[in-house]
Amino acid sequence: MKKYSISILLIVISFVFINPDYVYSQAKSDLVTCPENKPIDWMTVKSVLISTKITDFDNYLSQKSLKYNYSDFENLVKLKSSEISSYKDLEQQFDMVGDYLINNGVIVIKDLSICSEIYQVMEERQTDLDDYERGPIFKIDDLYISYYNVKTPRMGMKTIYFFDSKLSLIKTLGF
Amino acid sequence: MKRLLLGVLLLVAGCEVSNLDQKTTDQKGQTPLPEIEANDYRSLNYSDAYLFKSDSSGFQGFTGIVNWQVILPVIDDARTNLQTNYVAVFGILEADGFYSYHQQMLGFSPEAVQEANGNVRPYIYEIIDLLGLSDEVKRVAIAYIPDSELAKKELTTWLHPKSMSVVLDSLLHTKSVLPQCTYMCTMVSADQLKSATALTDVLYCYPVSCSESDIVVEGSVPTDGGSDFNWPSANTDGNTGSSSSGSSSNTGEGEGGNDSCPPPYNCGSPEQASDEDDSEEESTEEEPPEPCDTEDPILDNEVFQINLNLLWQSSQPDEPISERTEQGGFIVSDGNDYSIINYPSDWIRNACQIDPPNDFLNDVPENIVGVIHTHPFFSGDDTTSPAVCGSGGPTNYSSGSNLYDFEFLTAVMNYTNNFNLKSYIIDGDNILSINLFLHIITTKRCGY
Repeated sequence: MKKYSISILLIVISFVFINPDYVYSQAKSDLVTCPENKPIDWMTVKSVLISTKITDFDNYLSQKSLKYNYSDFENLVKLKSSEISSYKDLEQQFDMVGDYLINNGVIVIKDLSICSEIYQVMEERQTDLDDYERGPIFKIDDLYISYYNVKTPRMGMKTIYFFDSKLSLIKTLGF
Repeated sequence: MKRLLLGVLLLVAGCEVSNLDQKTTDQKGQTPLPEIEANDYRSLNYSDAYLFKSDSSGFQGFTGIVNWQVILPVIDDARTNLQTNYVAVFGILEADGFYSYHQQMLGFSPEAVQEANGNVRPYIYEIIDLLGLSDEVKRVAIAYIPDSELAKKELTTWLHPKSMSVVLDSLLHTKSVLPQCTYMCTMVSADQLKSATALTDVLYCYPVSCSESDIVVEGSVPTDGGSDFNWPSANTDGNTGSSSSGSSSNTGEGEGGNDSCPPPYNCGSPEQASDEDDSEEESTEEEPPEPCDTEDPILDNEVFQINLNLLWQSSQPDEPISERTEQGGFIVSDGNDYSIINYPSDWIRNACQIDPPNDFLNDVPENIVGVIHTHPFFSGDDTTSPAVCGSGGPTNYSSGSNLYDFEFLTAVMNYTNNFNLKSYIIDGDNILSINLFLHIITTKRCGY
């Protein structure tokens, strides 16, 4: 009887650790809160909003009220680089961009169910998280965007994931 | 192996970049713009448009609505063909009733480019004839221009008929819409190209030549095109033939023209703007490259330019795109000159990325003034091959910075506590400088 119990236990253990669904649900369940946004994340949102690349959205975005003026962003930053003496100063400037965005309707998502659903989709596509950490999720109009940040800075493109209001992935673009 | 797997996964993630690469095949057609049905590029017939409006400044005219979604692919196509950022496509009504199409490189003053901070925006200019309410488009120009008022002014001035000496501002206060006029419409998109929300962009038109009006216009707008216009200029590339994603940074593909000094700026030589006589090809004597004068002390430093050239060549820009590699280094100063210390060889490089190790900050030299890396691409390159940038890459490369590039810069700034550092990117066409606020200044490559 004991022998059977051990066998069953082994089967259960092997099922649990080999079954991709279980592994996946582990990945999903370890998201206990939505990823926090750092000040520099606002620069990512800004870059997305003013990028020419989103013209690739064709019909989708053209119907949205996604309008942000480049000059608005430029005017936000009043300091010269020589007036920045610490990284904290710089982050304050980034936060000013964030304040502008929040005042213009950009929302940082805190709803865990939304974050989980979005990251569920993202992690189907990017499972190697050793070099990455989850970025925050922003809502712009009825569009959600998110991305992974790299743990070690590099030079290259950051992939931005775009989701519609039903949390279906509609586009990924490198920025 | 892990990176290979990651690359595959990124590929699987799939980015459906729209294919804007349709080719312009006809040099003549029945519609004002190639590949676009009738007047689909704007949604109103002007003859319907007693829809004039006045704005708070007293402007009166009528409005049309621009459909950038059909326009942009046509300009993108010209970008690909001409291998440069600023381009125009012209449609010109000829005597035979057909429109001739022309692609044109554009060049703007350094001030106009600098003011744009590396951003571009679309532009449209029309001359329409409402005599007899025919709503006939005489000429139309669409373009990508630097996102600055000065660039708009430079191009608009060049596109205006030469004989038009009227002060346009005075026309902005006409008392009524006069349908018996030739109207000139011009705009850049009301917002940035970013949102393609062009369905809300409004094209303002104003009268420039009227048969019955109290508006005095010196000269007249010719109805048959021709010599009253600077466009198409001698360096227009009406031939829309293919161009390689080549390795030459010179864009001298146009026939019989001075491609290195395209209009409207013409390298600051106004005489060239109206010089349409292309019967004699200008002698293309090899002149030594002029010293760059970007007013950026690093870029203008000759020692740095030598280093820059070496860095660029080490990216193997002459090789097939998948065999090129990003290269980069720390920019250091000895108090007089600037030079580049290449990133250590254990920093992983490919065509689209440089990936430093975790302890990369240990490599940062004390006398650092900036960082630089290459984008080993030329305008119009398709970078989406898995061996290049993968599906997230642009199908139609144009100069720019990436978000990770910026984050790398801020990380080095944070480490050195030096917020005057700049990040530079050099590609086949331009060199960009990026500061701590992600402001980008684009400069044409010069002398290196």
